[in-house]
Amino acid sequence: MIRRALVVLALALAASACGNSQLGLSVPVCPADPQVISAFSGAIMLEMQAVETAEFVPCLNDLNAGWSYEDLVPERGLSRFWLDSDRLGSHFLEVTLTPACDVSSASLAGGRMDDAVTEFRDVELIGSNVTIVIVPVTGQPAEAEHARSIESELEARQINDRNVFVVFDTSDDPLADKVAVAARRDRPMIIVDEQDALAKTATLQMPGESQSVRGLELNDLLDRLDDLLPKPSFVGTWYRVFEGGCITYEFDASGPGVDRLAGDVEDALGLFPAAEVRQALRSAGLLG
Amino acid sequence: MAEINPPHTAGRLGSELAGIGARRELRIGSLRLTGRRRRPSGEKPPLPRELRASGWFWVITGLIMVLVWISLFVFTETTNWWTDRDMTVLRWLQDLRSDGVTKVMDALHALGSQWFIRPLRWATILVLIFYKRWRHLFGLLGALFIVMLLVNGLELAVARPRPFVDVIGPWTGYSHPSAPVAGLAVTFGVMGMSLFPKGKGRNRFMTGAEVIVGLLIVARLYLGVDHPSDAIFGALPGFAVAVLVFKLFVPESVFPVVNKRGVTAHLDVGGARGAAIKQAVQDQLGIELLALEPFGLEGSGGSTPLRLTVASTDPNQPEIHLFAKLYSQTHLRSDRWYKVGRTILNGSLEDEVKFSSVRRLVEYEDYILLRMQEAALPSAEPYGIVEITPEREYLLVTEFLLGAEELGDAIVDDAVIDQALLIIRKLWDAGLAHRDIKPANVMVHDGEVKLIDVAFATVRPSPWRQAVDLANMMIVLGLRHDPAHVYEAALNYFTPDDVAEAFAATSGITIPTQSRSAHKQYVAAGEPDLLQTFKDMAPPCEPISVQRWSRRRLALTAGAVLGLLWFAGFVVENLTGAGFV
Repeated sequence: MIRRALVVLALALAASACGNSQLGLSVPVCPADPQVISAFSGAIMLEMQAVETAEFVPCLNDLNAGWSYEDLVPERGLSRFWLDSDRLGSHFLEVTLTPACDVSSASLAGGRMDDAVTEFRDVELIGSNVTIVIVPVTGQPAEAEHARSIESELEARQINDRNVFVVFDTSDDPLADKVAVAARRDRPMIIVDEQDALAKTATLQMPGESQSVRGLELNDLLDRLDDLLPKPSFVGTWYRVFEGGCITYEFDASGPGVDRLAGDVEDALGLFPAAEVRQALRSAGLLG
Repeated sequence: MAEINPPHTAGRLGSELAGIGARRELRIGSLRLTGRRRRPSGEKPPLPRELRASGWFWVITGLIMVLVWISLFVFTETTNWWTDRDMTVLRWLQDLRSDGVTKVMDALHALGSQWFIRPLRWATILVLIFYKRWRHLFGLLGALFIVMLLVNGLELAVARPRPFVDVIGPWTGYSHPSAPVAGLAVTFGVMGMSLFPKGKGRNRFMTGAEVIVGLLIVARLYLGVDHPSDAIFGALPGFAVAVLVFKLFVPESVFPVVNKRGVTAHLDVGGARGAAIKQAVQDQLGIELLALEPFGLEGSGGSTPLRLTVASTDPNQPEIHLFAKLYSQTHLRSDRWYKVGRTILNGSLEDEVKFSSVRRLVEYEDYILLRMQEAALPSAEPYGIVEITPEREYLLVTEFLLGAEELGDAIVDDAVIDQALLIIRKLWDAGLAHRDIKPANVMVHDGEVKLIDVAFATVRPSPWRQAVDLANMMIVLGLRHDPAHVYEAALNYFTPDDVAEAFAATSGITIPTQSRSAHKQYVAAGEPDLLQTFKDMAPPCEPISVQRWSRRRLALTAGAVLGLLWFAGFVVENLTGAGFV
């Protein structure tokens, strides 16, 4: 008897979970029409309640394939949720609504925002492409041939999820100047001289490092690049500041796709005016 | 009137009782027979498994809550109905706000904080661990886990915002159901069910708990953080789950709340169970049971042994004693865990098949006793099985060996040695093995050696097990008499090679704990190692390997290790505040 009752309860709960209703809006989806907001539902309303002064609350439009929303954690004075991605990592984006935020470390950004919203950004992007400079020192045929073989090996592979592009610097500038230019452009440099051409080795000069590594055979060169080249990443913070509130977008993404991440996030995340929610609630008689 | 007078049963009453087992019916002159009564179809068993009024109250409460939740999804307009009622109450409370009352409510609101709830839960857990009440502990964890799943699932499914009033208290997450209220209610619920025996103490605690949960609800409504329906629908499942989990899976009748350490596998045979046993023995065996009492509990963890006092018509001896073993699901589970432990520790010495139900366990022991009778093996005579609760509790009634002594305490002379070894010979010849030969299970009753506690016995045992039975019996005898004499006596029934095989198969883990302890004392007293002594007397024989690995043993060992790791993780996670406790 008890077992039967428990089975009935379980079936009833399962059936209710499949029911078609306005309930279950635990995801802050940007509503097409605020009037559809039910008095009994709504992550959007809970965000609004968490920061009552905020004129906007963050919401979700369509997410990219492979992205997923995780947990709205609202409490008095703060509301937070995360986005996960199969390629960019778990919790690659944390979205937090607070009454105010410190934007002193960030720079003002232009964009597609509402006039009532000011956006600041403080982000470091390491893109999916990396350019490596090869310098044949004297330009002798043996050097050039060895340099070409290194180029073909590099371009045939990805290093740390990054596509490799090779440029040759055959200018007459002194080598020290070439190194300085590559460092300024954040480009690794591979130097091939006559001795390297004979021994099938090369010298690697990483940007920002004072010492180069000489006499590297091809496999060692590739291994070292693999160790030293950072993965593509998008790390930093956006701030969207408006009357009575601030939304912080904390990025910690790495992997393929970071180059498009800014645009993808702008498309996926919207702002919903709290005034429209309040109006809907007033219409429903829930707000005085 | 039975006129059987077997030689192994002393006295007139004993001889009359002996006839019971032979015919499996009770028609004995001196026993006052009250007549058997067949339980008609539909009539409740002697000790029915019931939820009782409080259990049904919580089941119905749970059903109502589920119906309400379903209605929220199926009939969405009901959400507005609830909200309207909730808002009426909240606005009224809002109008009552004042600085003084707000301070009081802020203080009461702390009742729902983790700083209040978690210490209560951990204190309860530590008490249960201290008293080794593992079943209650699992019940507690189960109830907490169910409530956590229920609350988290409903919070996301319903996704109700906080009340649209001026919220002046701290809050986290969705509003429905109220997680702090549910957390406090289930905490008090499991505390009441696991720490307080049924009765006034528990009732008072539960009443106090309801008052405290009520105060938390009032505070949360006053501060505007919950709707009334959120709070009520948090409190009810909190209490309901706690009460139902304990009533269904940790019933008081089987797992009484006893706040003292020690063996807790024994059932309380007073109260309703005592009355049920009396009624059942009378109905099913036709005997008037005058009294029953636990008997020799310290020597038995696999059942609850009882001494039954039954009425006699003999004016010289108005009362007769019978022996009974009460088996329940607790004992069945103990048996299963014991077998798992043996498999992990000892390897696949033999196939250890678990019993599928209590009925099968009792039937098996009754069957083994009958087989022993049939093979003329002296043992307690079985009188029958009595059903107390179908599939859950049974009583196995046997002869009571009045005045019997354990072999470890009795005088062991040549006759006793001879009988004891003959018993092993008969076991071998009958294709049986006792598997638990130790001083406590070999009784001397009026000079006659009898085997008791045959629950572990098996039919068609492995030759290894038969050999171990012989070695264990010789050890028991050797501890009480000259080993050389025991060896010589053994050769009356076994070949020297049999004895050599027995000791080649026997090592520390195959000797019952009681015999091992006695042997340790024996050696400590300056006597030579008995195993080595017997090995030296017997012909040479290569030791027989005991530790054998099987897939089952590997799987069980891996499972045990994983279980321990999970438990360690669970404890650490919860101590650091991330888990559900």
